[in-house]
Amino acid sequence: MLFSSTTFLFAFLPIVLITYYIVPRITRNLVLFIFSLVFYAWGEPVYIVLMIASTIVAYITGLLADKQRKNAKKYTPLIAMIGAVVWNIGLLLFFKYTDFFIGAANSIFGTQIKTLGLALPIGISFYSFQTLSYVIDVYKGEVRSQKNFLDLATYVALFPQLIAGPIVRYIDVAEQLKKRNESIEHFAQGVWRFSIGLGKKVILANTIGELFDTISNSAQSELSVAASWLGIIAYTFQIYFDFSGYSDMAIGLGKMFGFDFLENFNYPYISTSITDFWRRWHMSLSSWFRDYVYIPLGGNRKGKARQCLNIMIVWFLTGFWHGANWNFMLWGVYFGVILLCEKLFLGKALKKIPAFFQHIYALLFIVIGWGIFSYEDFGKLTQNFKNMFGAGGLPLINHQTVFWLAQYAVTIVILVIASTQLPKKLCLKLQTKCPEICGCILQPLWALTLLAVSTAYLAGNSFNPFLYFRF
Amino acid sequence: MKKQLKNYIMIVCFLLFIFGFAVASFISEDREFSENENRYLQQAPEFSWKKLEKGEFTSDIESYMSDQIFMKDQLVSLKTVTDRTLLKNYQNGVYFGKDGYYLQDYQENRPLIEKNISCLNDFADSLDKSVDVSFLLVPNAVSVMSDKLPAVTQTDDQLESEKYISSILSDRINLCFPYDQLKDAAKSTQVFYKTDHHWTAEGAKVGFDTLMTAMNEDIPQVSYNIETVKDFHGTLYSKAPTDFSAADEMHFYTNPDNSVKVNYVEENKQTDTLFDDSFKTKKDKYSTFMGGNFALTEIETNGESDEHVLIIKDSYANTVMPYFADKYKHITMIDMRYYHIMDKTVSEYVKDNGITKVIFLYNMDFVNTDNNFIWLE
Repeated sequence: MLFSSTTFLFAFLPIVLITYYIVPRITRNLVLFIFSLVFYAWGEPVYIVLMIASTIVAYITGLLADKQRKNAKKYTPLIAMIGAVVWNIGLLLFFKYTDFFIGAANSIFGTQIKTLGLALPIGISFYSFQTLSYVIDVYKGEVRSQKNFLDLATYVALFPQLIAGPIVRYIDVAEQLKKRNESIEHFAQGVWRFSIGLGKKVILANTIGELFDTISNSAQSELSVAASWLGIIAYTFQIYFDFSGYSDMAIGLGKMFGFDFLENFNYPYISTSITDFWRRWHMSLSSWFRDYVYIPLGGNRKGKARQCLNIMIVWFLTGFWHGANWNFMLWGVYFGVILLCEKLFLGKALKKIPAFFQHIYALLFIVIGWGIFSYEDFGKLTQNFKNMFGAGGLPLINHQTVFWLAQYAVTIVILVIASTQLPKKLCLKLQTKCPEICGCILQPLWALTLLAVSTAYLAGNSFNPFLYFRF
Repeated sequence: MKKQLKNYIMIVCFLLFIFGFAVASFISEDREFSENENRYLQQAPEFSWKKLEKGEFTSDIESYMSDQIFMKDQLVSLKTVTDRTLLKNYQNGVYFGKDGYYLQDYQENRPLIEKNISCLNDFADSLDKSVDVSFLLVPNAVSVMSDKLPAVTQTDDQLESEKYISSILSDRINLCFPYDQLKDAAKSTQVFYKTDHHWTAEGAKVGFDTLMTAMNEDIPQVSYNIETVKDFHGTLYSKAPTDFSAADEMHFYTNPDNSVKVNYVEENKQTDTLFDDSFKTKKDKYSTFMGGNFALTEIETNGESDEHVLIIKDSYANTVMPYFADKYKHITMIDMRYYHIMDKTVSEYVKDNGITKVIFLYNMDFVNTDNNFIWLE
């Protein structure tokens, strides 16, 4: 099920909220767990078995990996931790990457191995990383193992973050699983956050997504250099508002049930460098790779050469995590190389130029990055880059491009503004200047407007794709 | 409490919204058919384990929830209004033009035009030399009313298409393209509906007169009774419903001195009128003309000329029928969208019924998009 659907908004969510708040506190995790299973099974009833199996593995390996446990044998925790790594990575490799490797082998060695054609279990990339972080943290002694199976299962299946993150780490919510603070203030914040996220996804991301779809499906003869840039800029906005909108909704829903999840985005498009960008984009993923891959590999502690290698490994994996395809690998390596350059020399040089040019620099490489990310078909990808850089034999601009620009001009202006901190600053200013009017009238009114218009878009539009579903 | 007031307001608004919609959608009666969207809506699905296993049950619930949501039509309008606020004046293939005109976009598909015209050519060439063949090709509103279009559009030029058609059309066919005449008439009357893709009865009269002139025929002088029907929201409105445009007014022209007999051959239905009044109270008011489109319709009138004409047509022709009825005593209408694998091919029909005049009557968009011309033989 998607948050951005009438079924979720007007059936699932009301029922969960009522049930959650009328049952005794002690059974609330059970309620969340059961509804999370329904939420998950909605799209794929079969793979629910896989998620539960993964939870059981995490539960057992977690208990065994706990060194502070009584009678813990010397090697048991290590073996348990390795077992969890093997299980989770194995699961990912099998369900997500087998067909890709078979395809690669077939094209390299000319073999004719049949692909499995497995559907990707929803959210597998997220929940396997979460359970993995749990067991590793237990092994490292940073958190105690969870003895209550239901609490752990609730953590893994928790529907707000189940299918698209953020990658909530066990260590961050361990306390909240036992005892959390469901308060009026929390709930109101959750409503505000959820409404904004829904609006970002349904009104902004879907609208600009239409433009990207139109342009990327247009015949070469209709395109121009400007149009291919416009298309990729549209995608740049689409993926940010889609994904960050979804994270906002997840965080907001979490708050409604008393959870505090960490932020996942911090205005990534106002970055001044690519290093800066990756501190602001999908923060739960990059910090996961930092803590569970980069640092264990030695990080920056084993000399410059080793650090460079580590960076490349991490970014190759980050790219590959996004999908079993060459373009995602290339995308990761692309950022790895830029980050290396910034680390070695570019970063210092950048600091010396005016801030305006730092933004331009960062945005240019971010947008080009999405150009790699958005086309899984390599032929289309290269054609698009040829078009963007004038090697496609296209006119600089044509009538069709002007038409697209005219249609989406206002939307793009709104997207630009919404990508900056301006709306937030404005909101804060209002809150300090006239707290009553802002809190009691403007904010509820704005939330309602966003909800109503989003509902109108959902009712009136069949175009409601979700980009991060396949990850 | 005072400190919490804003939080209470926020929460109450939210809960009222989601529970309000949930309850209202649940208790409001499910609609079977949406006239606005012209489709049957999803009904509450029946549960079965088999359907659940295939994932059909959940996807049916999803469509049920979005089809039967409370105030669906108003919500769809709200979306259109929001889009218009964002200055998007093009939606679902329709422009929001000046003066409340919805104008349908036109993207020329030259290969299909060529294919369709060659079907017409082959057919015309195969007919006996004595049969007169004419082609009333009607430009669409997007072309005739182009001054109503937004400043920047992506629409193709129908005049170019007409030039192309005229260059490949067989010499056997007498082409009539009432562009100038319609444009001229549009200065004083409304020749196209604002909310529908068809021409009005007035526009059709302009087309008919132009055709008669092109065929060297006299135009019957008739004083018509005019009936007016209001509140017409046509097909283009349905594609982007909003209050942007006032509803259209429809006019129906009847000649009190002419009596007609209409035989819907396949349906085995006979009437004595060119209008089906039952549609006047429905959404699809345009179907009042001839009751819609049918494979084969035979009309007997006491018009001026004894000749038997065959009109091979699309829905634009339905509006022109009152004028044809005053001109010809025997009229046959064939709609190739439905005239597939019948007892007689169209050429056999022409031979067996002593038809002396064949008229193709199509709008430009139809020639550019329809795939049924191949049935013409």
